[in-house]
Amino acid sequence: MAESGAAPRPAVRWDRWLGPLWLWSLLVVTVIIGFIASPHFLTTLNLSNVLQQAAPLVILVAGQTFALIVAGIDISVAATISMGTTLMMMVVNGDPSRIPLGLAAVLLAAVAVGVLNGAAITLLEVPAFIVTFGVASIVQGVVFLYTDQVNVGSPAPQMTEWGYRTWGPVPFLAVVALAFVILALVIQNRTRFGRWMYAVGGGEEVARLAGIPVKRVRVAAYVFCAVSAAVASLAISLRTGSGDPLGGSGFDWDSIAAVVIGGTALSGGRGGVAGSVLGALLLITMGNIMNLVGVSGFWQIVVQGAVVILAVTVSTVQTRRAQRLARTNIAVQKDKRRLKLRRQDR
Amino acid sequence: MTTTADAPSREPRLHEPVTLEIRNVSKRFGVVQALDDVSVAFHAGEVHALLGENGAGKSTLIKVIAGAHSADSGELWRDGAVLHLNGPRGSRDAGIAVVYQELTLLPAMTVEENLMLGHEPRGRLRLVDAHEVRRRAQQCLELVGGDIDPAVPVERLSIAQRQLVEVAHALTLDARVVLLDEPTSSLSVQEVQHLRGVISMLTASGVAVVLVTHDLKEALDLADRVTVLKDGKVTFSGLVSETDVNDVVRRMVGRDLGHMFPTRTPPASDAAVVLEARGLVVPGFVEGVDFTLRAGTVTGFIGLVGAGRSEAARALLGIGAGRRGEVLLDGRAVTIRHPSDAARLGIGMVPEDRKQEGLLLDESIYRNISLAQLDRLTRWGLVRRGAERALATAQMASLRIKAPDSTTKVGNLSGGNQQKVVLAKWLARGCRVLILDEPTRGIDVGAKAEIYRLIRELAAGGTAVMLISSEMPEVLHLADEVNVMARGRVTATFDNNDPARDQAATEEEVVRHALALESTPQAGQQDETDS
Repeated sequence: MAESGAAPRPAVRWDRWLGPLWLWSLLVVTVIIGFIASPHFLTTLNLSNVLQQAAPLVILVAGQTFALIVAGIDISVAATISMGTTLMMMVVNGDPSRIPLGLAAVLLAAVAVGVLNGAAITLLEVPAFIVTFGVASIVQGVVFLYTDQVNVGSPAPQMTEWGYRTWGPVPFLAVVALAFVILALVIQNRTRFGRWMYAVGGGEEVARLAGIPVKRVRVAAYVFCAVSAAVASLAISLRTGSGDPLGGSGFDWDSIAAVVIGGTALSGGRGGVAGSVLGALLLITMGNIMNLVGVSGFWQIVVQGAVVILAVTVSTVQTRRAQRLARTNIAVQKDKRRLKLRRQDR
Repeated sequence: MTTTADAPSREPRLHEPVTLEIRNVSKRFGVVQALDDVSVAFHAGEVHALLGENGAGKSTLIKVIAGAHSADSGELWRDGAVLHLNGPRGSRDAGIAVVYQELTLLPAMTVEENLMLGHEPRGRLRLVDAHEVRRRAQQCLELVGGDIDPAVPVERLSIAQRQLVEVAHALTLDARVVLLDEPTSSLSVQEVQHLRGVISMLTASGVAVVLVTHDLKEALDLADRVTVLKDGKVTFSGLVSETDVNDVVRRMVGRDLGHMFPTRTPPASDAAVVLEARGLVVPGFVEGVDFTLRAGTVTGFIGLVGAGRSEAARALLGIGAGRRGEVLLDGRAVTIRHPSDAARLGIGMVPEDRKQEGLLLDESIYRNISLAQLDRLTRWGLVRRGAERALATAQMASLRIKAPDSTTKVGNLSGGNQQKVVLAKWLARGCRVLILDEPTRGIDVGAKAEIYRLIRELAAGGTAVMLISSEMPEVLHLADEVNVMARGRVTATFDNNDPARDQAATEEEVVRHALALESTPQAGQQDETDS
């Protein structure tokens, strides 16, 4: 094959590294609204607080995105988080020397949940929604069994210290979240596995014909999702310092909402971690603003629902417009060709 | 394909070694014997055309070679060793690349991501090497031409560009055997020329190119060797110089079809026009089509995939964005905005994809049959179950649907019987115009004959039947009138009942018009509107 002369520049898919532009704009608008609405919003203390609050959800949505990219969903993340917080506290139980053991236990248990999800989905060919729904119930039930539904264990003093540590205005947890997001972005954009996730979600048959191990890719996506839930659970337990058997409740729908707001399609193969992180930040920021101006927490839930629908409408419209553009593109080329032929006729 | 003056004349490669050999491969799908003891040898550096009618087994053979289907019996030999294929990966590792007819690109991914899918080059830290991806992608894209930007998502490309990307994809694999399934079906003349260049370049480097095509002229023009399949069997395999177009056609269609088709009782020559379409346009698909459907007459529509036949029919039902044109029923203009309008006017359609559009597979026969007319079977908002069952039983008897009773699940029936249930659904409604889109696709031969008989019986009962089919013999034998479509237009009309027979359609004439060999120099090109 002939060597091409010019050194080609590799393509950077900015949309996959940075997320949709319109979400950035929406986030900026939200921040401006927050600035206008409350004098307390744009303060170092508040923003540092927001970042700290956002950390667990940001970590979690990275994993949830992977589940959605492979055309699946993971509802069991909330239960996995509850399992993580309780397990950590029970294992450590005030003894700093047992922290590594706690970390290992939480991660291992999460990997087991991920493998269970992935294996059931790929081997039994049951829809991801049903499998993870069932696994959520199983895991939560087991957590209740070993905790008797009361807070268990206690943290080592260092843990709470790290949970609230800040470097200047930058909280330690925000740094952890950022590192985790970068890791997820690199996996998504720079590894074979990342590309394969998009292929599996975008067209399973095409992926199979391309020789991609479809089942393994699926299982790996769920394992990563469960691991992200485990890391999120550690972030939570550093802050709360308690082994709450319901510590993860609400994170299932919050994470799915953030991912969907971020432009990842439920049908798979589109979107990415960056959008999800923006979605999570948007939700947290809006919640924070509403708190500051004294809007009821119930209204926040209402607003979250509206934002989800709005965001999905925008990304659907964008996809459809792109497809219509492609069709016009085809029509234009066809016309060009006809013109060419007419010229040949003459 | 028009014969091109500059087509390189090449010496047949008689003495090249066999690179891929198929030995006694058989494959069965239910009652259909798709491949029956097929043996073919592909030599290094040759272009090998694989020819046959729809359903002759070409696609199945390709899928077996690609590892997408496993053969029931027989072996694949590659460079003198038996090949054990464990799925597509194995076939790819054995140096076999397939460019499928139905496009296998992921729309949301970029061109280069698609090209490198499954074999992404890795660099530092085992991360995908973006520079290398771009370099390799560009190399292969340059070879196929078409000026395609590797960084663009595939969904922004035209169908022709996507086809070129498919070909480029095969090149990225460094394959020794490249199978092209209908590669030129949506390419322009220039693009086809370019593709020919790519093919000669491949063969010059010792790659065996297997070309599957409907276009005989193109095949005989390009190929060194030809294999003809008919009903899953090899009827000819040899050098192009040993055969010619007529011989190949005979071996492709030379089947005794006489007994399959019922005798045609021609409708009265003054049979009333039931439906008339004037200037039917569906942007991008149908570009101004006129036709009439007469009572008691089967009007056949033939053409390549994407010629706009189904879209024209769907426009009659009120489907298709931006459609225009006039539809007259019994001479009066009617407005059809929605399939329910069409149903009320007595226009029914049996869609091409009966499993998706025509049937509820998990429901019983009687529920499927009554579905289109629950309004007539309802009293005080409740469905009259007795009447529903009686209707279904009557239809089952008249169509000879083979099932224990009307409560049998449709999903448990054979393809032929399923198709009869779809027919029953519309017949029970009392359609005056019945549109049949590929009514015998995926049906075994015996059931086909029965569907054919039913179609003629319907016409004999006074129904105006619009028969869309890609199977030439079907249309030629069943239809009273034949409309040939190409690129959204009717390019020829034949009257099979013409006493002098000089108006009657012959296979050759039809093919010529379907490919629009007459009107433009871009013969062999198909519309870009394949769904």
